[in-house]
Amino acid sequence: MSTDVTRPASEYRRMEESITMAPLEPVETGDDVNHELLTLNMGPHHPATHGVLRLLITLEGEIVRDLKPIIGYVHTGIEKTAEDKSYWKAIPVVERMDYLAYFFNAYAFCGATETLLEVEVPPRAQYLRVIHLELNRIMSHLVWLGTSALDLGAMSMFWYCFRDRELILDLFEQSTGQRMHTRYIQVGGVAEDIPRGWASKLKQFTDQMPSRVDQYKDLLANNEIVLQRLRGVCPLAEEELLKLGVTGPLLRATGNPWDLRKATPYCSYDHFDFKIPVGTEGDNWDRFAVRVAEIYESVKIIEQAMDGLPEGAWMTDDRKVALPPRHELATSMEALIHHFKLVTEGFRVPPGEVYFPIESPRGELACFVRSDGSSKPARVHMRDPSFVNLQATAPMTEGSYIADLIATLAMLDPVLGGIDR
Amino acid sequence: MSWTPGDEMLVVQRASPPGAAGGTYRAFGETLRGLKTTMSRLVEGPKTISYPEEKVPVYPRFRGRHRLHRFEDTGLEKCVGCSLCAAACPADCIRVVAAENTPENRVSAGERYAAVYEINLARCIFCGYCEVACPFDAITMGHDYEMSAYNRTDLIFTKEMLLDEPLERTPLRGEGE
Amino acid sequence: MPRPAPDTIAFTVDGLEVNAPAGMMLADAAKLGDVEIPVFCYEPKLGEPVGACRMCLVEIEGIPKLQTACSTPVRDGMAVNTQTARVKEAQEAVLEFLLINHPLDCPVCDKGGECPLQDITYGWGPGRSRFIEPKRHFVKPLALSPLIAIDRERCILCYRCVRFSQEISEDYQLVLQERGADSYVSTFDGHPYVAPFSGNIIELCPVGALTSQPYRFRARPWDIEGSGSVCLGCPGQCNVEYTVRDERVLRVLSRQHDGVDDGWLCDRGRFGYQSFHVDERVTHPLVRVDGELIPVAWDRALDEAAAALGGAGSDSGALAGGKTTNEEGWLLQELFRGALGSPNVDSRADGMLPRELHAALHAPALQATVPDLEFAHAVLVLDCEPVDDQPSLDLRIRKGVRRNGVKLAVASSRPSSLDANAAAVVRYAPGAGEAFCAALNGALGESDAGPGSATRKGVVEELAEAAGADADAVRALAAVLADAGEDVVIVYGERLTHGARGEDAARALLNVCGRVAEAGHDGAGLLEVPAGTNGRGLREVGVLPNAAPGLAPVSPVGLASAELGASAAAGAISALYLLHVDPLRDLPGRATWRAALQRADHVIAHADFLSEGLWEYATIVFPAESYAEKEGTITHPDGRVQRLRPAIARPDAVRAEWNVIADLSKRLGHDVSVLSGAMASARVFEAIPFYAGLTLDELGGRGLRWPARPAAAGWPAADTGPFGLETPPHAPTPNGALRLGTFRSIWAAQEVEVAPALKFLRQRQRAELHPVDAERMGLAHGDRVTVGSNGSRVQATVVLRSGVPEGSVFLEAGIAEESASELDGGGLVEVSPQ
Repeated sequence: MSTDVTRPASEYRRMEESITMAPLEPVETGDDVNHELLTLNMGPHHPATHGVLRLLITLEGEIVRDLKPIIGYVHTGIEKTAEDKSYWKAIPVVERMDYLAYFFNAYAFCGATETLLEVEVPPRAQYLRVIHLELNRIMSHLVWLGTSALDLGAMSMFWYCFRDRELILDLFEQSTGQRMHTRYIQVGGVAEDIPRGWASKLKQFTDQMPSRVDQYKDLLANNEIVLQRLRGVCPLAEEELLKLGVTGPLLRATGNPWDLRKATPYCSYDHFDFKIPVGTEGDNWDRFAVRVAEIYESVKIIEQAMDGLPEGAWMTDDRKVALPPRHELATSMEALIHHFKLVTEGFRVPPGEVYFPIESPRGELACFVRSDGSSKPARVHMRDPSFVNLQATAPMTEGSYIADLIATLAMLDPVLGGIDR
Repeated sequence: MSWTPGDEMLVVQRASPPGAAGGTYRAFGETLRGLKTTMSRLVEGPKTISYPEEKVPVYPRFRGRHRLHRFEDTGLEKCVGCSLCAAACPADCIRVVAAENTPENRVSAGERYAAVYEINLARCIFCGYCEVACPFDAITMGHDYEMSAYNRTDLIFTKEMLLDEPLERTPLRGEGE
Repeated sequence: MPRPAPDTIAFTVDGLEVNAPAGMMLADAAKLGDVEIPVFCYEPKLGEPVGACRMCLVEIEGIPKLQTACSTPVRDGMAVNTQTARVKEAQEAVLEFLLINHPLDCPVCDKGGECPLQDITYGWGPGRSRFIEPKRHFVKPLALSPLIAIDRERCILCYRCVRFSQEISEDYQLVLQERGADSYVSTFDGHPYVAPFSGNIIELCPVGALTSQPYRFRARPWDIEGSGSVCLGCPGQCNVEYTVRDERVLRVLSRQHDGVDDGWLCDRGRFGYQSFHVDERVTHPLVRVDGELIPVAWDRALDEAAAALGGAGSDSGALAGGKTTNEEGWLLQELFRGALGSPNVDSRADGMLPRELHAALHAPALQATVPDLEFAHAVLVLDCEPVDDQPSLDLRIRKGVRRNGVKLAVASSRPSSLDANAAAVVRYAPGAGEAFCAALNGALGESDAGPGSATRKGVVEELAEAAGADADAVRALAAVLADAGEDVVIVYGERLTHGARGEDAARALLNVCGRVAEAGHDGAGLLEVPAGTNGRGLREVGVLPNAAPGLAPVSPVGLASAELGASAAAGAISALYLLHVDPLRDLPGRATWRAALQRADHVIAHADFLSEGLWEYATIVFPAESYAEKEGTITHPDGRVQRLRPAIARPDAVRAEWNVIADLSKRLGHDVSVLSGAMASARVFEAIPFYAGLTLDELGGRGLRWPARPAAAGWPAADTGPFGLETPPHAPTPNGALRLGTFRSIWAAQEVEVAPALKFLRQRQRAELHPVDAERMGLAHGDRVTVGSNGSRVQATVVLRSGVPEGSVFLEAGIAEESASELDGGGLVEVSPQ
């Protein structure tokens, strides 16, 4: 292999060289020890980065002096792809961004589209959406809890969390036909009603979930190692977080009760009685505790929604948006034509633009859709909370130990599918 | 942020600081408490199964490999090659080329039939929109999920492959199970 | 006739103030305010609206009942509402009625996805049905013709197809049978609807009732891509859109261009695309080895061609057929004039016209455009049959006559399909165009000089007799032209200027033109119907023996095609280069050309099919691109430079032809430095003064008329007459024999013979006779006869036509077997029963 550095730089090399690190000077300590700065590449294939994230870290000994997250390794061009699909066909596509919050992705997109269309979503569909969204939130938190605990060295937590997650995925499979990327939420409602027997299975789950979370807390909350790794580690002030646009559990850990489900209730969230867990210090411990507490609240919401599930349609009866019932396809010309047009071309959305924010497990997930009046969105943009929150990594970890960086990254809960999109 | 939720806020309980005297207690007491959880879960027994000898049963709504169907009485294909599935597919993995039925070569019930019907399962995202789009219930999402192959081209399923009964049926759960 | 320039009025639609031309129909005017009113039966191309479908009902303030927007002209201050509850109710009711009898065919229907009925139902219709009773049934599917399938259950009785047949193509074949719910579209007696323009009804049909047989079930709208280009089938150069799926053209649609085609296509252009994808196509370079053409690598074919041409030097000649683009033509003359030093290049079929006459006939001041035909006071169709030679003109002339009262005069030897629309018709002897022009000139001069000028009177009689025409008919025709007004357009066939006396005929034509059309007056002048698609463009880029690019003078002057044939037959030409032309098929004088091809050492051809002459005599054949694969420019007879854009990839080893010619040129030491199609176009625009400054971007999808650009000043000045002329020769007297007239019908084309859908239209030779002549010879309709002259013979079937002038027989040229070009002699033939 040639090592000739005079060759014209490749595109990749130019990009690499464009990464500028803070101009850091070794600290003069006066002793003889040579405090040389070390630049360390962490990732993109590192188990603790929870995806394909690369961190370029400048270390002084074990202290993190500077950090640059480098993203884009799983960029899939989903936003652009969605512009080439009709709204209906874009749903399973945008669903695949944040792969732990697929119901949220789908709901943000469908909610934005419904706002532009001014479609009424029937109450049953809204409740079914809430149930699935909250199940998804629990599922996402379980994955976070299991993998984070793994990062901190707690192996069995991972198995416990994934076993409970399996119960949720089973529920998803039963009601939507797929464990992940379910395309259950559709514009105007949900794809199908819940099947027979699902309610009782859900009840089993909601009955047992709080005790399971109690067990997890038993395992972790007062564990000395966990406390050593989390409590008082890498806090960041509320103002700093707000400046960076950080939302979700990270912001709530500082005591700011910003939760869109309460602040701007959507999808009948105002029908349910639940609380917003907040922290006080904004350190890793609070981030951990807030998420764990959220699982209890989600269970409460699901129970209330299931008890109060209204009867009726689960899809809007607007024939210009919703597919006609299948049995009409064999007898009704109008239904057949509407089916044909909706499937092939899709409904047209009045021109306009909308920003539709919802509270995802990681914070404010919003979908921006601009319509030019055609049947394909002119622009789809997702404000993914992981992407915004990731910016807080450097201010959180500067001056901390590299081991604390791992814990902080775990508590940050970034999902690279959502960051890179 | 001026918004305050009032009493709908729940301040999480803060753990005591690590180290110090409590630390010694926690190193033993809390670890034992954790061990209690571990021990109690131990008796639950394993939840894993011996795949592939055993298979995870799927629910009726599970969307696995597609299947094309025939009419049971006449044996004619239900698919008329209308391409609605291809139009609905967000992954563009379906290719349909239609042709006309003749009295000598009658394949489907209507005027046209699918001369070529291919699904590229390497591309398919199993959203089931094809099933939704089909006006004749000719294509449905089956229950098979074992679709690995050594070669990408082997994942392009032709009409004959999709019409055939799958070799091994995946176990199915009842709706309420 | 000046084009209508209506006043602008203001009206409101849904509360929005909109300006529109007065008299515009509401359905169109509302679009100016971005309001769409759904229509089914309304199609402005079809002329007067009929208001049959009732889909376009709107509420107009001050009128108690709902009105049809398609047949209500806008008036100043009109207030229109399209969104009120009454309108919605009416729209839903109309659609509900239409859907009651519509079969549930969308999944199998070819129109599905591009169907106005679907679109309008989805856009304006109800979402639910109330109708549960059985629907009306017809037998289906049926073939309305081998090209068109009809499904009567799907028909919504909008009358569009019937109106097309009755009022646009005027073939009067389609009618609506029965009444009420039993109504259906069919031909009157149930025979297949075969007509030159029948395919247009497929595009007109707003539902899936009329669908294309060749396109049947081939693709869905979401499977395909549209690719705009220009049809190279005839000089009409209609703008088309190819429907492409998997690198195959599956359909041809019209890409409406009012300046060229008015949105119609003939069936040859519409269905001929099948010839791009047949097995007969040449897709590899071929070289003749031991009497057989075998496929070889490009290098070998090019090397051998270069060696052959290099060896022949100036003893070589090239002919370019009508499908040659401007770029290929220019490169060809570069190859011959530049690399070989041979002046023998030609693109005309017969004879040589002096440069000045080319310049005069096409002078921008005398150039009429296609839309001029629609708005002229009078149109003279001279020595051509538009429906065969340039079909789009036929519809344009009919439109002018029907809608704008254009006075039509037809002068030809063979009866024309436009005769019925004409105010005056003159039949003259085949080949006597020059004499007719002289007679017409005389008659026009007579009326100029005042009636009863005795000396002139005798002259007209004399000339009319020479032309074999009736002097009174010539006078009547002259009167039509003289009295109509100042906008007179003469549409003449290039064949008028063919042959040894072509020069005199051209001068006679210019004399006539000088009398009826003022030079420089917009809306009047000459419009040529060239023999080949790009006939005009090829002359302008210098594929003429006596003119270089831009009609610049050359020295020495080369041999014209007929002389080249004779010279080659005599052994003086070593290499012949045939670009998209088979002399045996496309040129007169078959016997001479057969000898020429046989005698020449090398016959190098570009061809997509091996027609007879190439199959037997070509030594090297380069595969030619189909016109959906070509890139380049062509020039419309009215001077519009249009751009060809490739729709599909070239199959197998086929290479771009500009590239092949440029490569040959380079191998022969004349590097023209053309590396891309765009570079070739740029070189052409550079080389021709009156194209100066054109760019491909400027041409865009609609083309550009160069005579309307400032650079037209670069056109060589020429004397446009009047000319003093000698007396034209007398048409041969039959004396028992018959005068031979030839024609090339719309179906006499290679693509008709190879395209599976069009094969049923393949032409067989027929002898068109006047019944009196037939009776004299004891022949009846359908008899087989032998037509002979000077030892050459052609077999034909007798067809009796009362419009054929007595003493003449018409045979078809350009067909695969028994072509009229087999016959040569003094224009007289013997017809004898077999």
